Amino acid sequence: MTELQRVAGAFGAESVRFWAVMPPDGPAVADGGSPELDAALTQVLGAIGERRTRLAAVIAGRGRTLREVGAPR
Amino acid sequence: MTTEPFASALASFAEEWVGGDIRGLHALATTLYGYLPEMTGITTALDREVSELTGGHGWRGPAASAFTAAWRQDAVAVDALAVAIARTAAIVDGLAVRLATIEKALEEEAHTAARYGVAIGADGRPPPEPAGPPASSAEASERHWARAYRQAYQRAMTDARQARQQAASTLRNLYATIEGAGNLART
Repeated sequence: MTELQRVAGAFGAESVRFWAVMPPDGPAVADGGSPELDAALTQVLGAIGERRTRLAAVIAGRGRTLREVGAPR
Repeated sequence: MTTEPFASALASFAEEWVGGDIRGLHALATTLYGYLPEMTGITTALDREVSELTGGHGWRGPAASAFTAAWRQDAVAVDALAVAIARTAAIVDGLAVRLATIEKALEEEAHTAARYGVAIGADGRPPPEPAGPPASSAEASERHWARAYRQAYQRAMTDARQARQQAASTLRNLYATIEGAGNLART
């Protein structure tokens, strides 16, 4: 295994770990006691969960890039 | 990345008269703070991998430079997400602390009023204001304490509502910031 492939594996593994940092749907919302607050909290937590998913995909993509570069020709 | 890695201690309280799940909010803040070390660990590990891969006699050339630059951008995006999580945790934590303090103060006021015969509702509401003059000095005293508790109750509800409004406003601003920074992760 080349160094590129080894690091590609590390990116793949860390992307999975990154995705698993929080639940699939993002952090669960707690009852804030008002619809206004609950809506704002839901919005932020949703954005955090969505950003986590997107970044996990980006990290996994870096791993694929390294795997392609390091693949035998 | 964050200056407040742990949720604050809450004032002790027994009821939930000011509304909302105060302990749930506190638990959410704790959960959010708990994500941060994990995220930092991931970027640190990958930083090290990239440094070792491209350092010394390692991987060189335009592709290596492009990869390193792209990863640095990713790491910045991860850091921005961690900052957003820490800010959310701080807002939720601060709200939980404020609500717990308001709740505790209200419960203490209720305890005092109850000692003077004021009937406090199971939800913390004060008794309705009676019509007509008091029939005795004992009733006059009870009305005095009931009035005082009524004011304390109104003040607590107002303070709790304001705390929620402030938290909601800050969260909305934070959401706008997160969305504005979204391009960092769109690679």
